[in-house]
Formats: sequence, structure tokens, C-alpha cells
Amino acid sequence: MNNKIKRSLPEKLFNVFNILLLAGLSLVTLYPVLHVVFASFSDPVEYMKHTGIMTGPVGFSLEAYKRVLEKPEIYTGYFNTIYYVVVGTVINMALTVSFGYVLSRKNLYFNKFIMIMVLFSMYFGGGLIPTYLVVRSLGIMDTRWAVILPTAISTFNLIIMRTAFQGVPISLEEAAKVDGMKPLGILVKIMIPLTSPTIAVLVLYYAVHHWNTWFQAAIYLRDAKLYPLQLYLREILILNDQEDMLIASQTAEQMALSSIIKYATIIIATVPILVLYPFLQKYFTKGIMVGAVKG
Amino acid sequence: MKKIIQSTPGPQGGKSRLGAWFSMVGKDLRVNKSIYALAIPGIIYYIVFHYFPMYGVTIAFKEYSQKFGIMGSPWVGLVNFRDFFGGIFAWRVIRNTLLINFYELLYVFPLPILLAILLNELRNQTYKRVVQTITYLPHFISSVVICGMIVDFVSPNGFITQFVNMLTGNNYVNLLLQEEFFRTIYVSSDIWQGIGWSSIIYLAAITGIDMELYEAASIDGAKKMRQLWHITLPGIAPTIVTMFILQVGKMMTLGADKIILLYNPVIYETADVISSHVYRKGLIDNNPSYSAAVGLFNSVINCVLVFSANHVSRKVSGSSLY
Amino acid sequence: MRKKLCGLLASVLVVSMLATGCGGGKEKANVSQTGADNLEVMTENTMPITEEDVTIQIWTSNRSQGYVKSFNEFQAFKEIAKITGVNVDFFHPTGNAAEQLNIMLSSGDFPDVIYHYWETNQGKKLVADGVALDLAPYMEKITPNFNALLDSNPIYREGLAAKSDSVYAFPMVYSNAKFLAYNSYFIRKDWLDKLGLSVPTNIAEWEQVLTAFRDNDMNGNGDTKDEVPFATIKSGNMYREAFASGFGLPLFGYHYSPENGKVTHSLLRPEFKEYITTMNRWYNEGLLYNNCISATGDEIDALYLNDNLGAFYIDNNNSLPKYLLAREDIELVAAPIPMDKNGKQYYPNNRMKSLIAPYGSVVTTNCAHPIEAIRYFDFLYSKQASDLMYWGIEGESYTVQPDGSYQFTDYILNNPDGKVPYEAVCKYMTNVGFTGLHQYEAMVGLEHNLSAEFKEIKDQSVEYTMTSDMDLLMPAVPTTLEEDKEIAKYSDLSDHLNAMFDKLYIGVEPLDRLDEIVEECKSLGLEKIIEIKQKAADRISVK
Repeated sequence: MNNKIKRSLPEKLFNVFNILLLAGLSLVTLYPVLHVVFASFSDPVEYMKHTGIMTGPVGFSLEAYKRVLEKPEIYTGYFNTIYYVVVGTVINMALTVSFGYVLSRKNLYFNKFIMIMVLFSMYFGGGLIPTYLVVRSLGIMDTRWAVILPTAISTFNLIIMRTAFQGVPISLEEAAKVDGMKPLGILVKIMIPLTSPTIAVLVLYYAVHHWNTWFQAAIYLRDAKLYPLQLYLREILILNDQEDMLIASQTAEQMALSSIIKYATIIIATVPILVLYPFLQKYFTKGIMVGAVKG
Repeated sequence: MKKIIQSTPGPQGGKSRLGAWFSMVGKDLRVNKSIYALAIPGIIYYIVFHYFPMYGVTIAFKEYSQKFGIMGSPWVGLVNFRDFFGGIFAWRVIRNTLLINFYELLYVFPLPILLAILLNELRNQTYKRVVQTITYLPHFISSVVICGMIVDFVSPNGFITQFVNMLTGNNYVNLLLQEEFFRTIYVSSDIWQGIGWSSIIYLAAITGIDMELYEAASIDGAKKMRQLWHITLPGIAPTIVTMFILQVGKMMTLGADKIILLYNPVIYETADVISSHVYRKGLIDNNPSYSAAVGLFNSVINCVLVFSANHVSRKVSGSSLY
Repeated sequence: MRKKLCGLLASVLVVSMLATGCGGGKEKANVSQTGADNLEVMTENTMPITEEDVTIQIWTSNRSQGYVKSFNEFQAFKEIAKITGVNVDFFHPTGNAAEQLNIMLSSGDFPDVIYHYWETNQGKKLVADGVALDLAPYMEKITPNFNALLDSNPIYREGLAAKSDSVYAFPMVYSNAKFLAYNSYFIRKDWLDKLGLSVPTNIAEWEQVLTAFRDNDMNGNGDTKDEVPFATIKSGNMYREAFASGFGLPLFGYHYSPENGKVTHSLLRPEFKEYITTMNRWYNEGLLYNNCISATGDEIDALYLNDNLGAFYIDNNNSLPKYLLAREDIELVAAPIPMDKNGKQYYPNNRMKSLIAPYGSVVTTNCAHPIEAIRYFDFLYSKQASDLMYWGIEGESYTVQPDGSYQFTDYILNNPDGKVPYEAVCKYMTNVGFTGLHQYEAMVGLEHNLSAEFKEIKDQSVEYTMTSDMDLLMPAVPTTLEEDKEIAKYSDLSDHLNAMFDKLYIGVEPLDRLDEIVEECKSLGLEKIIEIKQKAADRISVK
């Protein structure tokens, strides 16, 4: 539709400016990513000598990838992480969508009270130890639930969800009620399709959170078979960072390699989750609302 | 229909106020029971994982001992708070925390909105996707690596140091040894790492705007700027307001990890914040009660800020969190 | 209906948690210490300890992580289990060990034994909090091997007393102070030769050498400005130690005053002004790396590897072999600790005053078999166990030479699978040590495959440290829990001291403000802390 309208000169100028500006921004933000990629493929000793901006790998070596990928734990870690991402996100979304929908309704007497309580919990928490005791008394220590349940809702995401539901015109809901739809039906048939861009964002937020998180696992899990990928990778990162001056437990080659391993680790841990974004991007396409609102 | 509940309170007939309240609440629960049922899992979650452990905040007023646990440790009143506020650097770290957060609000907060709008103006969908994907990538790189790069760039041979020296004619050795640059470095690196990721939520909000509004405006001959002002911004205003209020509620909170990787004693004056101060103190004297007290103080301020921001927003823009 | 059910479920949940979780706030630590009273004194720890099936669970962070998944894999522990009849079962934290330890302790969920790095006052708190058994009563009765080791050298008893008034852990014990001699000065020998200069020994000579390094395009690349005469790193605050000895100070911090044996702080010493003035001048003149006070290891690595660095103060365990490997064409030599006017060379760290490592095994009040556990750890101090723990199995990992000394076998030194010695030994034992006597010869034995050049330089640097003067160092003294609390009140002081040192060093604060800075530090409690440390030091000297 934009093509039909004749564009004025300032508008054209703006477009050129916009394209260039965003190209510049892309270059600047791309650099840290490229740095990590280049470093991960670099020769360890050459990399140690390097200072300043990297324009490509210095030397070339796949040793770091080999070292990381030869550990069998990486693969169980991948499996566990995918489990936590999928199951965790499903639970997150189910709770966030249903609770967010309730909180977005204007005519419920208790809503304001519940909302304040939710908001309050963002600021006052008991801290780690009481939460640990709760998890223990629920009997879910050392199970996958200990990783998933304590973060079943993110208040921040809940509020975003609620804001999106509030944006849906009230007339649609009224019409559905007249048609005799139940709240659950309204939620599934009307609200969710209309807020799909926000839902896509929250899926992304939750999934990335599960992908990156290691803290719950480190605290609540003792069984190494349940460890997510990030926990193993953290071990690799920490191991290489710890400066145990007392005892040289590594050889010189490994020491030179350690910083490269750090970068290879980041690549291995990040690439799979990056793939998620393009899939969700299609929900950010203009015009998804139009049909729905009309219908 | 929807106003029924709100319009019924008040004494009726011979019933007492309390009785009226009960009958109103009862009616509300009865009428809306299927909606409230949807909230039950969420409410259970908040009670179990947030409200139940809340007794833990009491250690801010106790001298925590592993022997007696949280409940059994002896009460010491406000000693832990006095320890914090009595320190000569208390004001310095509070000021730095607030200032950095203020600059974050000023720059880090609006720029993703601008990026989302600019992205939305792109006609070439492929280009748009490429830019979007690239700008969101740095979010996934751990702050240890990002900070390592920053340290590298502002070190004596770093290109940023040399660039700044060229521009100003000064001869700085390392920008992280200059008090006046720390906030700029911190805030701009946050933009660098987070602009794309934070813009996603606004992109989604823009997507939700009804296209017909733009079409109508175009037919009326409204210029781009006017469309932006009258359609796009109002369309994403609820999201912006929500995010703004939540951001204001974080004024006293600033994670220690990035600060600790970047600062050094020479620039404590501008770089030391509450969390890094508590972290250093923790290294000397592992004291959970002290950090709980500082945390509680931050929470109270944050809470006051978020509830006031919400109040102001309701008055000014009509949208609010509750 | 469903709603009712959910509501019921919710209330049951909450009530049950109020009941159990709250009680989890724990009331225990009533475990009696009287167990030791009924014991008979043992002159020998006879094996096996028990005929019953006893397993002790041990928590420790896996410091051999790169090589083994769990300490249970080590052959040595299996052998020791055969001898003692006591099985040990290790489990390891992932992520932040200190944090997990804290949760374990706070929730009461701790195992029989915890092997960890203990801060000086942490052990005392563990006993006071009822987590750790006080070992002193047991040591009178059932730890003959441990006692014999402690009696073999007075430095052990002193070191143990310096940790705490009581004994709360079975520590790793170093057989030799050389373990701890790891920070040293190194200098480019090829550059010195080129200039016809010898290794500097005092501040005047250092200044001469560093100035020559700066002015004479040493790396011969035509750029006379790219040489960095001297550098050290931020980590470990090594720049606050470098060259201090040349001015008669061990480091920037608390130490003994040589005249009267009183505790003092460098800032209050007359020598400090000369020291900081010289450092500031060197910094301004470009003799010190201009990013000295915030330099990362990577930065120094790059300077060295790109042939720009003349001399540095760094550790000889991790950095040195890395450097020698990466640039075989560069010749290094260790330099002695700079001498002061009186010919003294002060070593900056008091860790060498004690051969008792901060690592140790704490037997907890949760341990169901404390006597067996204590006797097990006592056995680890025997010669037999120490050989198993640090040399492995005779005939497999080591052989006894005709002169009675031990040597690692080819399986360790030239491993058929290409493993480096540190990795190869992990089939038998941990390469990072555990409770027991850590034999220096075993650690050196593992360095067999490193170049002769490395060994020569390292031995030289260790030698310099071993012959340094330690009489200015603070004695390692235990403060009481009350004193710790008092010290914690003045925590702003150390921030201010560090900031002021750094600012004076690079000239952000003018040197003529030194007197004001001293006053500021006094008002932050400097004298108060000195007083507390003095009291603690006096307690030791009375003993």
C-alpha cells in the first residue's frame, strides 16, 4: 500500500538516512559477536599476542572446539537444556497467559489487590535460603521440577502480557460474551490470536531465560545427569578463569588455549538459541491484527 | 454490564456495611468464578515461591547465625542499617547508583523505542530482518566477555582511547582511570549490548497497531512525522508506560557484575555503587544480615518509586499497572 | 468443583509448608562433644579402623575438574579404603562453590565431611555455629599420625595455632615452604646482555636498567617508544608490592615495625613517602607500564609476546611456563627481591610463615561415624597414606630409587596416551592436594618434562624468595570473633587506603597531600585496627 502513495523528497531523504543509520548500528553491534567468533577460531599463542580490533581469526585452529565437544557431558547437557526450555516455557506461558488475562480484566473486585501483591513480590523476597527450604519441603529437590517451578512466572513478563491483553478492544470480548462464550473460550479463541506478537516475544524471553540459566540447577540439583548445558559450560569457563597460583595444574599449552576455549564455549552455547529468533520474527509482521479486528 | 460490581458497594437496606461487602464479594466471586479459576495456578505460585519465603527479610533486623537459622537468630534492631548508613561512602554509592540509573533511563530506555520505530519504517523486509537479528545478538554474549572488550578498547592502545585523545587533544592513558568517563562508558556499553534485544517488545507492540489507521491517515495526506506522532506513539504508549514504570522501580538496583569487571579504586568516586560496595564488604566480612538490610532499603525505595510512578502515570496518561 | 479442589490444594500446601519449612529453620547442634571423653588414648592408629560397613560422604569442589569427574575415581582413595575399611564417597558442587556451601550450611543439609578453602575466621564460626566438631579433644586421644607430624617441625604447631584457638579441620600440610614461593621478579637477560648491564639488585640499579630499556630501542624495531620497561598486573594487587622492599617495606599494608616489634601500616612509615614518590616519578617517566594499576594478565601477555616488555613481577607457576613456551627466542632471568639501604630483601606475603594450607577437612555434626572419620583423616597423615596420595602406587606410578628417593614412572612422565604429567597422575590421585602431607618432591617430580631452562629460572626465583627477609611480616595471628566484628566496622578504611595508594601512584592525588591522606585514614579507623592487630600479635608472643 505504501507504493501507491507518492513519496516526497524529505521522505526519501529520511529513508536513505534511516537505512544508513541502521547499517551503522548493525556494524557496531555486530563487532562483539564477530570478535567472539574470530577469537574462537584463532591460534591460541597468536591470539595471546594480539591487541586491538580483530578483523579475522589470528592464525587458525579448531583445537578449542575439539576440546569442548569431546566431552560427553555436553550432549546430555544439550538434551537437558532442551527439555528445560520446552517444558519450562510451556508452563511459563500457560501460567502467564491465564494469570495475565485475569489481571487484565477491569471488572473483577480482587484484581487491584492481586496486582499490588504481585508487584510487591518483585521488590520483597525472602532470599535464597528460605526459597531453598521451600523447594526442599515440596520434595522436588534433585528433580527437574526444582529447575522449572521456582521460576514458573516472571512478574515482568506477566505485566507485559497483561498490558497486551488490555490493548485488545473491549467490544470484541463483549460480542463474544453475547455469543455465549466462556472466559476460557474467549482467552483461547480471541485474546491469544490478537496478542500473538507479544506472546511470541514472551516465548522468546522465557526460552532464552531457560537456555541461559544455570543458577537453579546449581543450587537444587546434585545428580549430574540432570545438569543443563550452561552448568557444564560454566564449569569450563570457571576452570579456565581460576588462577590457582599455588599449583600449576595445567600445562602451558592448555593455559594458552584456555582463553580460546572460553570463546568456543560461548559459540557452542549460544548458536542453537539464536535460531529461535527468525522463527518468531514472522509474528512481528505488520497487519496481523487487521483481519482479526474486522472479523 | 462491566460496571455492575463497582456500582453496587455501599450500605443497602438493613444490612451492615460489612454484610454488604460480603454479599458484594460473594456476588463477584460467583459471577466471575470461571475467570478467577484461571488465576488459581498463578496465585498458588506467588504464595508458594514468593510470599512464603518472605519471612527471610527479617534477617535484615537480626544477626544471622547458621546455628540458629533465619527464625532463631537474635534480633538486633537497626544495627545493620546503621552499619550501612554510618559508612562515609554510603552517600557516594547511593548517589552513583541513582545517577547511573538516571542516565540509563535517559538514554538506554528510549533508544530501543527509537530503534523499533526506525526498523518499522524500513520497506525492505529482508533488510529489516537482518538488522533486527544482528542488533539482538550481543545480548547473548556474557558480560565478562563484553567487559573484557571494553577494557581492551579503552586501554592505552585501545581505539576508543586514541579516538578520544584525538578529539580532545588530551593524553589519557586509560579511560577507565578517569572519573569523568565511567558513567558514559557504562551507559553506552549497555546501549551497545541491549538496544536490539530491548526493541523487540516495542516492535511487537507496533505490530499490534491497526493498519487501517495508517491507511486512513495516508489518505488524509498526513505526513510520516504526523503519523508517527498521532498513531504509532499512542499505539505503543501502554507498553512504553509499563516499561517505564518498571524501569523506575529499579532505580536503586544495579547489578554488581559489570561494575566489578570495569572499575578500579581510582574511580570509586563515580563508579562504586551499592551492590559493588556490598560485594566488597562481603569479601571482608561475610554477613548475610548486612546485605539483607541494604537490599531491604533498596526495595523500600524502589517500591515507593514504582507506586508513585504508577500514580503519576494514572493521573497523566490514564494508563497504569493497577 | 475444580475451584474448590484447587483452593483446598493451595491451603494444604501452604499449611504443610508452614509446618515443615519453618521448622527447617533448624534446631540442632546439640550433638555432644562428649564423645571424646570416653575414648582411650591411642599411640598408634591401628588398621583397619572398622570391620563394619562405614561410608563417609565428603563434599568438596572438584579442583581436578579438567581431568576427572569425581574424586571417587582416584586409585589412592580406593587403596586407602582397603587399608582402613572406611569408604569415602565424594560429591562436588557446580557453579559457585562458596554460595552452595553457604546454602548447605544454612539449611542444615551438609554432609559428613567438608573439604574446602577456609578463611581465617570461618572455621571458628563453624565450631561456634555447631557445624564443625572441635577436633582438639579428639587430638589428645586418637590422632597419633597427625600429632607426630605436628611435632616434627615447630612451624606446623605455630601455623595451626595461627588459624584458630581450636582445631576445626584436618588441613593439607605442605612439606616445604618452596610450595609458596611463587611471586618473583623476572627480567630480559638478552636485553641486559645487549646493554652490558647486570641483573639489578637495588632501586638505583633498577632505575638505571629500566631507563636504559626505555631509551635504547631494545627490540630493534626502529620504534624507540614501544618498549615498556616494567609491568605487573592488577590481580592480587601485585603493583602494591613491587619494589616496596627496596625502600624497606614488605608491601603496602600492615606489618611489623622493625625497631620495636609493634604492628604498623606502611602508610605511617617514613619510608612510604620515598617509596610512593619514586613510584610516581617512575610512572611519569615511563619506566612503569602506564596501565600498571589496572593491567590484566592478557595485557601483560601481549606486551611480553610482542617483544615490548623488559621486566615484570609475576607468578612463576602459571605465567612463566606460558611465556617460555610461546617465545622460545626470548631469554629470561629471575631477579632478586630489591634490597633496601640495609641490604634487607623483604618478602611481601605472610603465607610463607605457615605451612598449614587454608584447605582442610571439617568433620561435621551430621557425621554418624565421627570417630571413624577422625581416624580416617588421621591415617592420611601417615607416610603410607601420603605416598599413596602424592606418588600413587609403587611400581605403577612411581618407583623407589636405590638412594631411597622416589621417581615417577614413564606412565606419568611420558604418558602413552599423550597425557601431560598433571593429567596422567589423576588416574591415581588428585593433582591439587587433599588432607595430608603434600610432598614437595612429588610436585617437583611432575615438572620433569618441562624444559631445563624453565626449571633453572624457576629454581632461581624460588631460591631468591626462600632467602628473603621475613621479619617485617605480620605474624599469622587469629583474631577473636569479637575482634573480627570490630574490624568489619572499619571496612571503609581499606577502600580508602587502596584508592589513595593508586591515586598517589599515578598522580591523580598530588604527593603533598600525603599528610592529609594519613589523617583521613586515621579518622577512618587506621589506628583502631592497628590496635586490634597489636593485641592479637601480643597474644601470640605471650604463648
